[in-house]
Amino acid sequence: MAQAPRRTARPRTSEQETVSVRMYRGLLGDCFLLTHRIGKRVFRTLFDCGVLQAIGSAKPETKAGVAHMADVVRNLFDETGGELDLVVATHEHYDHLSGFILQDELWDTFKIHAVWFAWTENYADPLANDIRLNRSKGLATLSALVAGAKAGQAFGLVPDELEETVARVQDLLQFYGEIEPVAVVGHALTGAAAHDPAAPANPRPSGRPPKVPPVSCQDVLDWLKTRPEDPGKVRYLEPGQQVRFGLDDRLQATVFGPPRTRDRLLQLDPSKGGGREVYLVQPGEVGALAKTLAMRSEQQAGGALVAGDYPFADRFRRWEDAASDDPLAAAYYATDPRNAKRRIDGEWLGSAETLALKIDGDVNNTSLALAVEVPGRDVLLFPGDAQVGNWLSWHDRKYPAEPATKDVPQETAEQILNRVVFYKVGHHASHNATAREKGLELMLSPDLVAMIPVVEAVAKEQKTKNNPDGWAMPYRDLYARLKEKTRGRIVRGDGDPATEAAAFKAADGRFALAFGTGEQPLWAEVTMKVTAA
Amino acid sequence: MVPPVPQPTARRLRVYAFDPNAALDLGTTRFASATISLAWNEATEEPLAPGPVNEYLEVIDIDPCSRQFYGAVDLDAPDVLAQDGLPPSEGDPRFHQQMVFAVAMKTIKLFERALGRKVLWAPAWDDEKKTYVATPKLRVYPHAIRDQNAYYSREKRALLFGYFATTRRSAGASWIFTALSHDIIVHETTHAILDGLHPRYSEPTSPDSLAFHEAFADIAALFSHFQLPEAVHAYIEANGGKLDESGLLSGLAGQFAQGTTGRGSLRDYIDRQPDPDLLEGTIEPHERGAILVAAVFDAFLTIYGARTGDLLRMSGADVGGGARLHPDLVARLTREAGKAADHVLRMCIRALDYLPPVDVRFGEFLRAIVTADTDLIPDDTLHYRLAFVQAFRRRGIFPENCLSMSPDNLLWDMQPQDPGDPGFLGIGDIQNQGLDFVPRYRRGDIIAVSEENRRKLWHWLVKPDLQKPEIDRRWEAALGVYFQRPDGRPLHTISGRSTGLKVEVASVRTTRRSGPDGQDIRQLVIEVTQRRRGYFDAERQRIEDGTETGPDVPPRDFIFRGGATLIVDLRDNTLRYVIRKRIDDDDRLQRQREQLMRSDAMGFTYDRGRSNEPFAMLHRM
Repeated sequence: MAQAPRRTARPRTSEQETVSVRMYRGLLGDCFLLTHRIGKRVFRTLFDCGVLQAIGSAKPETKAGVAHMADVVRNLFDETGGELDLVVATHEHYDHLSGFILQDELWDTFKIHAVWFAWTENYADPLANDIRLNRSKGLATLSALVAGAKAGQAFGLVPDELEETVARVQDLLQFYGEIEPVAVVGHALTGAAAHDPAAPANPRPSGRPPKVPPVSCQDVLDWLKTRPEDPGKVRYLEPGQQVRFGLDDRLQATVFGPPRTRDRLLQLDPSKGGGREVYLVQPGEVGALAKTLAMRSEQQAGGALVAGDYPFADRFRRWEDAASDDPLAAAYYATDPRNAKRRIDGEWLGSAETLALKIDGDVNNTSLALAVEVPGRDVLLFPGDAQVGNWLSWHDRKYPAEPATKDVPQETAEQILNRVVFYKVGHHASHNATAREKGLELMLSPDLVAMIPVVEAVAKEQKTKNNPDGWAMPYRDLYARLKEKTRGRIVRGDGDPATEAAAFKAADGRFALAFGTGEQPLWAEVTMKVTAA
Repeated sequence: MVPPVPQPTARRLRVYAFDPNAALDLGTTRFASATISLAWNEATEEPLAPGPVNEYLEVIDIDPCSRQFYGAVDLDAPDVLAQDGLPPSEGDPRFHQQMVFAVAMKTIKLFERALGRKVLWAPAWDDEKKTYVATPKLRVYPHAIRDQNAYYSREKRALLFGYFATTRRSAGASWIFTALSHDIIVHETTHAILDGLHPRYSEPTSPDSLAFHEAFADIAALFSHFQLPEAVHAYIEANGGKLDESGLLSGLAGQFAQGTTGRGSLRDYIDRQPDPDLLEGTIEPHERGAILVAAVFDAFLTIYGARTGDLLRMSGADVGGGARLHPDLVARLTREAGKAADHVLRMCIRALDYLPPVDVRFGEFLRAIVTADTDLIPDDTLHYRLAFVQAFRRRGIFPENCLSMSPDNLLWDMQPQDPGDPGFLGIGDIQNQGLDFVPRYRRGDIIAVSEENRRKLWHWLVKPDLQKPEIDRRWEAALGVYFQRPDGRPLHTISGRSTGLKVEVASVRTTRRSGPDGQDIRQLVIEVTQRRRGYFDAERQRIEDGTETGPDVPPRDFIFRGGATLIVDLRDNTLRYVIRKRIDDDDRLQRQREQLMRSDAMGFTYDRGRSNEPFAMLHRM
């Protein structure tokens, strides 16, 4: 895995070289095995291993997916002999990492030679820590809201209003596993623990050790960091880098994202245009919600008022009182339904939901997006769950960003995307994780195939009052366009194997499609012969 | 008997000129606060009550995050009256109430003056009565949320202002109140006014629609700066007569930006190198709207230049050369800047009546500006209209289907006035419908009368002409809607029976405007709209368009609207313009479809729940 580009060694004559991608089916979650074969030699790379899980919920399809994970990891072990040359963990979401939590004992028996993460997972990176700390505070606040509500705290709100929001926030929190408590107000961060020979090489900024076996996605990432025997094989990748791997270093990963940007907000200056919001959560936003929650709990417990918590001095304070005979209060609390709609008591709760959504988007945007180039220059695209901001940032630079020597040619993202022959569809084909003009439309190969790790029945189960149809995955219009671009060569986590095989056959192309055994095979695999240059 | 004392001419209320932070800056303390003059109890208006509550607004100062309900300011208390309202203070919630009230009222009056009629708020849907009911008063919550946000809530018909604690020192305060930012108050009030005028503009029908809302709100906020002569004076003095330097005047919401991101202003509208290709790829509503605002600001700078060129030449001053200008010249320039800003803003506001009722585009706004201004002021001696056209052209804002970008080509097509013309639409019989055009001054009466007129006009419009059905077809062609199912293409996606399809007369308003040379215009503005079921899938659309429905109408993916704005000259009862958006325009339907499906248009759209509050999401800045 040398970083400097170098001429690839020719394979010994007459040996066949192939790459194949295996997708584990039946998961609303990602688990992809990329296999590079030359003759009898193999190099195996795993991209994520996870499934959506609704904790303590009664959604039958979702539960079935979780049970399914045991078979998946077992098959992975059998297939690889318990040995993985490389594991790529794209981002810290449950539907990408929960396999390591649910099947931790089996995973402990795996040999993992190298792991790759996005730079955002590096605890030695101050910007990454900023983003993470902010996010952790947000998550801690939201889980306090959920926990409080579950414990019967009303926060002074109408129960219906609270229940609905809490349900929605909880749905989004299930993506992280157990959430580490963080001091949200103030700067109570401790430094890393004093030097301890047993301490991990990349200690958490909070100083709190990860849990083993892992209970959260962050624990999984920390666990993965300890797996390679050679600590040098733990890599945090930066956009613009190109890294060689595979047999004889014949594969090359171009790192598209996540973007490294501090320019989070207010890209509204008309003279600038270019940049774009990628990480949306702001410290102030988290603080305000945390404060409101803390105050509500305090007030309910009858605790003393803290002067600094209130914007105005004592003499202006007047406790809200629905029974007041003040004419304005009477108008505000008037009971007719039209008036009730205009009240704002629960408006602050809306920010909890917005925050949860933003965190969700932020984490998706920290996805390690890789374009894997095989000999012959075809590209396999693994964007994680990168959302639009991440995708658009790919076009901000050339690749490699910093060529080792002057004569190394640089390429644009567009040129690389033009050669994509395999696309791992981002975020289970939701509406906002595949860029259109700057993404899918740039994939021009007539051989393009796509794999969608989706189980529509599970997505549909994720219903709330405001979203009665559940999640739109796959998103209809994206799916229709994918079908056109791939000429029907789409493999879905819940597809019908016979239909899919027929579609591959009818459209021909470079990839062969195979399935595991049985009526509902565990996996689907596409394989391409490498036309070596 | 004691003879009566003459009534005061105005109620004067002090406010921060920009925001509390500008008041701290030594360079700007001279004009830190401003005084807003509102009419003293107008005979036709409800008297002012504590809150403040008046005919238009009810300020209710509940702070749910802190669980406080702050006492309301009584603007009629002698101690308050005697000192032009409470003195500016961040620490007194009553001053906050006074400031939001004063600035919002000033904005309302500005619109009324330019529109030539009273401002009315968007009506509310009544679940029990199954109809829209008028909203007499807009709610204003000065401390609604603890968030870096302020927004107009359509559902609550309220302005919600947030406040938050900041640790950034540059903001000059630990608490920042959006209710103390002049710009933010004007911006949000303008959203509410615009929503009352064109309720369909908040629907995401094209990249322009939400951007237009944002842009217009920013235009109002930006030009309100020029109503502060002290600030303009100081600025002109410091910049040697030039207005095209970025700064306090061209930027918005300084303290808010300092407190959130540390920048000098939230948005600054001086763009030195306009890029005609930028519009094409800019989708985010604020970004796209910013291009429109920059165009209007550019037009303003051109107009200011035209108004002051002679003055500067006469004075022999070296503009921008660093030399101090003569104080008299600065005073004159300040007046000219104020006038130019006032004219530009009024041109923009007047144009609102000349826009289609649905699916507005930037190019149409330009046509509306040019047409509305030509109607009122035929002789454009200072080339105001040309200044607008040029500024829009430099930013690539072109109207569709327009021969060229010369002002006379941008005028909306005048309706044929000759009864022999095949497109002639007679409205002579409109007078027999018993429409009531007597000017009213009380808002309650205006609401009642316009509701009555709306009902009568609807009857007049949809009643089929049994003798001459070709007249109805002619109206259909002009309005872009259908009263009866068209023969060739049935369009079953428009609801209705064989007796007639559903058509809505969305609003009927009368206006009265006066030009600078005594021109007097009296107009009737009628909005007619129709809805059609829209589908994301074009093939499904085609099938549904052709399939007759029973009593159970199949579900739709979205609503597609068409319709027209009719402008009637009430002096001679002629139909002057019909500005239409056809209901059978499938290209437009396709564009709305694309807009709704655009993955990056609204951020997290797999949650449709909050789409009924578009501004709340947009404004989490």
